[in-house]
Parts: sequence; C-alpha cells; structure tokens
Amino acid sequence: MTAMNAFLGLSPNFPILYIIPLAVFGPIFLLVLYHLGLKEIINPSPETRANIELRKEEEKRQAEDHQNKMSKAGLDKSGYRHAPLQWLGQAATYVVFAVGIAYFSNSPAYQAHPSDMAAVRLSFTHPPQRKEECHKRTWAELQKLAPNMRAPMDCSRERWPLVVDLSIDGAQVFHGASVPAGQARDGHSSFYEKFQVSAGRHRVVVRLRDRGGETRAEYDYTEERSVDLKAAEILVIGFSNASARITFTGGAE
Amino acid sequence: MQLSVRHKLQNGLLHIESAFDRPFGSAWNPLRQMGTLSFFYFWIVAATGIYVYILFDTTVGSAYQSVEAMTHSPWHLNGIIRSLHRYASDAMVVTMALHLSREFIMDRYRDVRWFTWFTGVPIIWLLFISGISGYWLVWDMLAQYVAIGSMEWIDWLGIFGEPVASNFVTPESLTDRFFTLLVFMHIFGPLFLLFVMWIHVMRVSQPKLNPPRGLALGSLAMFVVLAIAWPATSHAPADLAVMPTELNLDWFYMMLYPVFDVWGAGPLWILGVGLSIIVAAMPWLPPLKRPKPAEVHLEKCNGCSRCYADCPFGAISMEPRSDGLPFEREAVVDASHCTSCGICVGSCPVSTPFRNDEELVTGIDMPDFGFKAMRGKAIKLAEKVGPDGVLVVGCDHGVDIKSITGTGVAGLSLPCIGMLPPSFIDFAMSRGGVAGVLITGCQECDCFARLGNRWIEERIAGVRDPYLRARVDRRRLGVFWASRVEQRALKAEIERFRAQIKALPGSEAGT
Repeated sequence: MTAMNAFLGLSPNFPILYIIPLAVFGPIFLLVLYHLGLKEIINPSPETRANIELRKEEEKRQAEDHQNKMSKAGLDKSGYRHAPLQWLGQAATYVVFAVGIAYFSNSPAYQAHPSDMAAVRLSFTHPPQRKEECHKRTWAELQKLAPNMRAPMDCSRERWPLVVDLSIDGAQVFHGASVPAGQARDGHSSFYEKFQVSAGRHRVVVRLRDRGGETRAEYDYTEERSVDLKAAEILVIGFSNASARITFTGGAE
Repeated sequence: MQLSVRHKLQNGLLHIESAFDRPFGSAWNPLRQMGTLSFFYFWIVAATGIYVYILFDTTVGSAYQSVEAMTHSPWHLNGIIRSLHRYASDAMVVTMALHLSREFIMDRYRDVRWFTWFTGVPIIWLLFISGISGYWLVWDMLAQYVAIGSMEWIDWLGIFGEPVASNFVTPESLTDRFFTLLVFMHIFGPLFLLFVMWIHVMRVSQPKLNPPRGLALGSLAMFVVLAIAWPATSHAPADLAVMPTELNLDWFYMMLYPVFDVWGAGPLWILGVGLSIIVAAMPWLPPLKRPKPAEVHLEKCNGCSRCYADCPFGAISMEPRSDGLPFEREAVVDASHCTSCGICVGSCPVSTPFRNDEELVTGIDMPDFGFKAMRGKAIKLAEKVGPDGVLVVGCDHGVDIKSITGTGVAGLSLPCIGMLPPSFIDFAMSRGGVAGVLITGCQECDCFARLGNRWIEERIAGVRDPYLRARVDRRRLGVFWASRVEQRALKAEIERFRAQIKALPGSEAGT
C-alpha cells in the first residue's frame, strides 16, 4: 500500500485500498445514472442530435450576423489587437499583482507568542454540586405523586456556581466563578482561560470549590505542584470527573 | 466649483482606470472587472479544492502528512494545484475588496442597487469563513493558531454549553470526529458562499459573471506561474502541547488575528458586527435622491417588450393588457427597481422625433426629462451650431458635456446614453441639419446604468431594436467612450471627427 501511495504521490497513511468499494460501486452507480438520463446527454438520439446541431448552427449564424453588423458599423471590438508594448504592460501588471499576493500570503512574519514565554491553560468542564441536597422520598410522599412521577429521590435541579482560584508563584493570577449551563442552571460549569508565564520553574496552586459558590471560604479540591516549563510549552490544568481530581498536563515535575 | 470628497475619489479612481486602459484596453481593464474576476477566482478555488480534497486525509493524525505529500509530490503537480487553491482564494479577497470600494466610490450602491450591496455583506463574512476554515485543515502550527483563535472568538458569544476551544487543549482532546466537522465547515462555507453570490446578482438583469476571456486566461496563467515559482508550503505540524510562536500569516485572511491577540474577542466582535451593520446600512446613509421613475403611456404602448428586454435592472414587466386596446400585453414599471436611466425611452419604437410637438408622446417616458424636452433641446442646439456643426450627445456620468461645447460644437447630456433613440440621430442630421452626431458616454464596460453604451452601439449597428435607419450616413456618426476625466481625449476626438466630416464630399472643405 505504501509503495502504491508513494507512486501516486499520496501520504503513506492515505487509505488507497479503501478506494476499492468506490471502484466497484462507482461504475454501477454510473450505469444507473446512464440509464436514468445521462444517456441522452452522452449519446443523444439522432433526433436530439439534429436539434442540437440546428440550434448550434442558428446560434453561430446569429453570432456571425451580430459580428458582421457591428463590424460594418465600425463598433466590433473582437478585432481589437493589443500592441506588443501593451502585452508587456499587462505582464508587468500581473507580475506586480502576483508578487503582492505571494508576499502577503505568508509575510511578514508574526510573533504569535513570545519565544521565551510558556503558557498555562485552565480548561475543564465539571458539574458542581446541587444547591439543595437530594432526599429520599418517604412512602407517604410517593403515594401523593402520580404513578408515573414516583421517583425515589427528590432532587432540585439548580447547581452551585463553580469557583476556581489559580495562583502561580504565590500570586493569584485568576479567581472566577462559572454558573452552570442551562436555563435551570443544572448543567456543567466550564472554564477556559489562558495565561503567559516565563519559561522556567513555577509553583502552581489550583483550588476549586463546587458547592457553596462564593459563600464559603474553603475549597473542595486543591492541587499544588512545582512545574518546569520550557519556552512555548503549555501547561494544561484540567479536572478529571472520573477520578474527581485536578489534573496537570505538560511541564516537567 | 468645490468638489465633494466622493467626487475627488471618483476622479482619482477614473484616472487610475484610465492608466490601466493603456495596456489592457477598456474591455480587459481589470479594475472594471473586479466582480467578474471574483467569480472566476471562486471557480478556480472550487475546482482545485475538489482535486485537493480527493488527496486530503480527513483524520487529525494524517491531515498534515497528506498535505505535505501533495506539496512535495512527483512533478510537483499536486503542489501546484494546492498553490493555485491558496493564491486564487487570496486574490479573491483582493478583488472583492476592490469591487466593494469601487462600487462605493462610484456611488453604485444606493437606491435600487441596495439589494446587491446589502447581499454583498454576508459574502464578505462567508468568504472569510471559507478561507479561514481551509487553513485549519492543513493542521500545521498556523492551523493550530488560527483554529484556536477562531474558536476562542466564537466562544465569547457563549452560545455553546462548553467552550469549543477546549477541543484543542491537548493532543488527545482533538478527535477525528471534531476534525471532520472542520472539514465539513470548509465544504459548506464555500457552497453557501456561492449561494449568496447567486442571490447577490439575482436582481440584476443580464448580470455579467465571467470576465473577458483574455483577462481570465491572463490571471489563470499568472496563478500557474506563481504556483510554480513560489509554491504554497506548510508550517511545522501542529502540536497542541506547545504554543505557535513565529508564524507566516496569510494576511489576506488573518489580518484580524493579531488584533484579536491584543484586543480580545469582545471588541473584535463589536468591530466586525458594527462595521457590517454600518456597511449594510450605507445605501440609506443618506438615501439617493433620483428623478421620478419611468412612466408608461398605454395609449402609445403596443406591448412590444423592447423596454422589458433592455432595462438593466429588471424594473419593467410585461403584464396582460388592462386598457382594452387590441394588444396582448403592456409594459408595467416597478418604481422600486427603476433607476430613472431612461434606457427604456431609447428602446421604445414609438420614441421617434419625426412628429409634431402635439403628437410627441412615447410609449414609455421619463417625467422629469422626457422625450419631448429632449427633442426641443436638440432642435435649439442644432440651430445654435448651424449646418456645419456637430451635436455631441453624452451622458450625465461621462465627460461634462458643457465643457466641450464651443464654436460649431453643441452638447446634449442625457441621464444615460442608452436613452437616445436611434431615430434621434437621423432627426438631428436630416431635420436639425447638423453635419454630424458624436455619441459619447461612460467608458466601455463602465456604464453607470450598466448597459447603456452597449445597447446604443447595437442599435446603431442594427443588431438591436430599434435600429438606426440605413439612410443615415455613418461617416457623419461617431462613437467615442470616455470617462469623466478623459475630457482632453474627447475634445481631440471631436476635432478629428469634425475634420473627417469637413473632408466628406458635399461639405465646405470636401466639396
């Protein structure tokens, strides 16, 4: 497969053999199309062909008549011939345009990120705790409900805002709260923030509170780590909902 | 006279166009073909895009390699196609911007033209969406920068439950499924762009969509040479674990990304949406005041439909007869589409000046400057210049007719040269007694009313109704197109034309 790809100038991973179904079903599809009407276009009947010929002849005659009359009136532009100097002028215009296109297509270079800086990305999605705890319905409570509504647990929908605090080298760089998504505020809370830091070792402390919002002082999750970041390297701070912990990706310990 | 800023800009642009006329000729002048060139470049991008897509691998892991394989393919053929795809799309930004600027400067966006202008605004957005989404697919460092920037910009709106940019946080977070979505965006963006381009020209009668063949071939050859000499290349492959640092941006599509880096998403949204609203509202800032629309005089209309065929803005429709006269149809003017150019007056076979003043009613006429007024003015001018004089008939958008009048030369200016019925030329020579008639107006391919100079040429040549009678001596009839700033050239042509007439047998000098 790789040799075939190389021969055709394709990427080694290009699934050239997957073309086989196309090679099999393609002709069948074309055959169906042919009998559905393509036949009339590719191989028209003598009658259709004669009509096409007549139409073409008529169009040609009209075009010639048009040109002759315009020419007779001295208004035919099709006879306009460019002088050599004009061709040169056109070529010069194309060159200037082409150079402009080629240059601004990838120049001048742009420094999207300082070459001596690293980056920290805070990015995660996590459902905070419900504002009201669920409670197990009693038998009496369940009996009051319609039979199809008798869920054993009674849970409120609204969740707390998720609060995140990020400090780097002892300085707070971010503190924010994210309200859960949805009309009833019952979805996930998301964070996506980015920061530039100098390359080198940094002490990163991330704290997360998923109940109580800003009404509580203490945090439910805290992670502290010393990381060494190379220039342009990205440290991604996330949250694993499966293991219920703050995660760090990138940067050497 | 104090010229307005727009008038000065118009004059500047006309001078530049005049300079381009020298190498290209007026018919091939690229500055007058920006709209058609944009269409042509779109087709180049579409055709090369289909080719590139066949060779493109739509998975995150292999997209970059497939593009690299294209770029460095044997004989470089695939690389040329890729480069054509890029450069034609870049050029389309340029032609679109020039097209928009030109229509604005020449004041061709207000009144009836509002629809075309208004529908041009989503085209700008769609062109950028189409171009930028193409850059994502290369999946190199530039793609990484542009894709993340775009997603962060969209996320600012808060319309998605989770930030879309979070798909690009780690190499693992970007899935093949999401990448396929990006591929679909790059397919449906251009398709939608084409759809809006079609709407853009929908209200224009006989829209010109293709550039002259010479110009099309010239620019295609330019792209091919450019693709061979300066092939498009990729950056290093994308790596979501590191930040893209120094990048070679495609400034045609990415000029706003550095602004985004400095200002952030909010101000850029305000800038983009604000500018779009202002541009879209421009036809009414302020609205154009134009003369009253054309009026149909049913007693003289036989429903021949020539005005319907000639109207450049589709303002005339042919409806069933409403007045009981024995004709099948009658012309009906939609005032909201009429630019008051008067082309319909020129196309009406009843617009013949060989009648008494009392009878001088034509099938379709302009209330503010009608056929009768035109005839009266022409008679006065003919009397003024005498039998050896020349009557120059021009338009309000070409050379100022007053400026070329002098001894033996009189000028009549019409809203558009297409308003001139051919029988008028016959009348000026036979009854008015002038020695010759010189027709002038906007430069070729640049008629303010789109089709005026084309129709008058075809009427003179006898290929479009109503024809100029065969008895009219063609040697005493001249046609010379000149933009407003080409006054000197028109004056020279008038002198040449007068000398030509004088040399004819029967003339003073020619006798």
